[in-house]
Amino acid sequence: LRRYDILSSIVWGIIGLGFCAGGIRLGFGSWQQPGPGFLPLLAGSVLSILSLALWIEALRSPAERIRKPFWEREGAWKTIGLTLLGLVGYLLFFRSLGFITVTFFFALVMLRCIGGKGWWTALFVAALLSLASYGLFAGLLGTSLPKGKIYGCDCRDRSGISYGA
Amino acid sequence: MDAIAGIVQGFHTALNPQNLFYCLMGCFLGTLTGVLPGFGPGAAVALLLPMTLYLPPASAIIMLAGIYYGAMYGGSTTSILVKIPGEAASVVTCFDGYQMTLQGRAGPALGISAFGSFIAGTLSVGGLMFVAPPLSRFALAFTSVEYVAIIFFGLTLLCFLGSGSKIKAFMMAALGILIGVVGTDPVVSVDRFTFGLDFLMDGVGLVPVVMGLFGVSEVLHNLEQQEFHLWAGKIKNLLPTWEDWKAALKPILRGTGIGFFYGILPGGTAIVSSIISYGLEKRISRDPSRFGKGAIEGVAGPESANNATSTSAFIPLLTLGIPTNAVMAVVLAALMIHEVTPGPLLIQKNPEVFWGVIASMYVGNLILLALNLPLIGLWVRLLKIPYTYVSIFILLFCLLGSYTLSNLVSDMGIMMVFGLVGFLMKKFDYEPAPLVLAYILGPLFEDNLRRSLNIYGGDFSIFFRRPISLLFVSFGVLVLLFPAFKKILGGKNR
Repeated sequence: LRRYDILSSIVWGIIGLGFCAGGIRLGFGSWQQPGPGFLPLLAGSVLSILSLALWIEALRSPAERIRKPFWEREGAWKTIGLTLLGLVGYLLFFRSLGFITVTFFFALVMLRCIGGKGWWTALFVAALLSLASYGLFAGLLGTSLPKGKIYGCDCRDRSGISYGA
Repeated sequence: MDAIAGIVQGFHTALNPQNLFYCLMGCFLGTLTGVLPGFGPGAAVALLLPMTLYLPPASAIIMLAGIYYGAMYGGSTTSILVKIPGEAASVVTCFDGYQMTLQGRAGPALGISAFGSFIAGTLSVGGLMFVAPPLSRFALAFTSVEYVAIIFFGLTLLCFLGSGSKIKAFMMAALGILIGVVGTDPVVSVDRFTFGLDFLMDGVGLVPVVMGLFGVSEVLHNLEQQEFHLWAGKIKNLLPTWEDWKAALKPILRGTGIGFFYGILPGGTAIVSSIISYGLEKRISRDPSRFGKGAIEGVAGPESANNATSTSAFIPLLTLGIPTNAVMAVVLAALMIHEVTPGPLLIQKNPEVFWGVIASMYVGNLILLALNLPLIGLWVRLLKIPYTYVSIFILLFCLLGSYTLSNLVSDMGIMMVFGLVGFLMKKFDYEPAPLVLAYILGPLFEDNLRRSLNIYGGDFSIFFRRPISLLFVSFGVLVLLFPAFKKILGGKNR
């Protein structure tokens, strides 16, 4: 894991330094009266120092004889990439398309592209899943779910926030 | 006598039909989540939190507690049958449980694991009943100084007990504290690291973080491997034989003791207690070579330990108001939503919640024994469902669980970010437990630290002048310095 440790220690180190800088900007205060930047500066320093320690440790360790591939199987990046894209799509279209439609498309993509199911199976299961989950969450659990702007619904939740806006 | 009177009152609450129903629901859902890989108790409890908003506080906590210890029962099923831990603490059960399955002894393995869990669960509830009230009274004297010391000790211990690199564990704890500071400063109302985003002003939500790190990342990891072992065998003879009992009874009792002790410690987790129990059984065994080849002690001890831990973990939460793991943090959130403040005053102010939850655990353990033995066929059938279906289901639950608590789409975004971070952490060998615990305890730590320094004029020696605080800080420092001592001593020996 030498390569990964070098890479990750740099990333965490930068994040730690970022929090330190933010902590200084927010104000450390004094020991008697610690300010809002007190803990960010303290924890950020710990993260940066430990990242440096990990980086040195990784550099000093012998190089790996066999490089462990990042993906555990060939083509796994497609599965993960598609799942992540599906999740991002879900987030982006949740309000405009509404829960049932967006869940249907999300399940369809997952079943077709990742599960390798045939069109009919995927369409049937996706429809069943989206309707059943709506029934479970909105019907049984009383969750307020958006119905979709494209259908012209006045989609307001319990707190009165409009989804269509 | 207080405890006896309290538990009688508790049974009155727990045996009320409504609470009995929620206890059953919790145990059922817990076993279900325990059986499904990639959907641990943390994500399950977080998901069902919004559902408990409309329930009385005692019913809500009874159900959430049922999910937690139910998952510990259910987690062993997949470990034993298909070598996939249903939840992290059952990973040790894979070693010998799966070997027993290969030898055609899946039945006794599942049976002893259920009985062991029952014995450990029931004994630990007894312990909880007698330990919690005096601890509560003792904790009444705690000030912010003691809280800082206990949290410091808890975090260092968790990092130290982790299975991977200690440096990485401490890095994750520091990162967790940093995530916890995001939002409006509680003292001077200044926005910290919100980058002008409104949804970050209240901080990073607990539920999306837990769902992302424990739910989404696990699904991504499983989808990447795409090697899903489906169980096709049949289970016979669930009841362990006399020989099995003779071999397993002492490990069950030892596992209970270890698990109970680790649950009380802030930072002691179910996975650590099961690893320690396994190690102990192997060390004291007359023939350690049997371990890893289907020794029933290797199933009985760790399974009892993780169940005992899941029960005793309620002690620091109920008596001190300190959650020791992600599930307890969600339970704490549930208590706060219901305006019940856990801590030393809980027994006096809300006895129905305190004793009701304890009594429900006795009932819950009985329900779980019934759910896990006669209904084992049902849980096994779940393992035959293709993982794509399971993964869509879990992802949907995580998305909606994050959304429903505040009806914010941004929470789903936070969950996805933490899902991806959790997936990468797994690849780069970082453990999520220190991050989550530090993120949960960070605000509590900061609040108490700032208050202590404020009261005592910035004098750090206060942490060494009060006896309880001195004890915990010293333990914490010893834990921190232990690797260095080990290195020095190791060097001298060479």
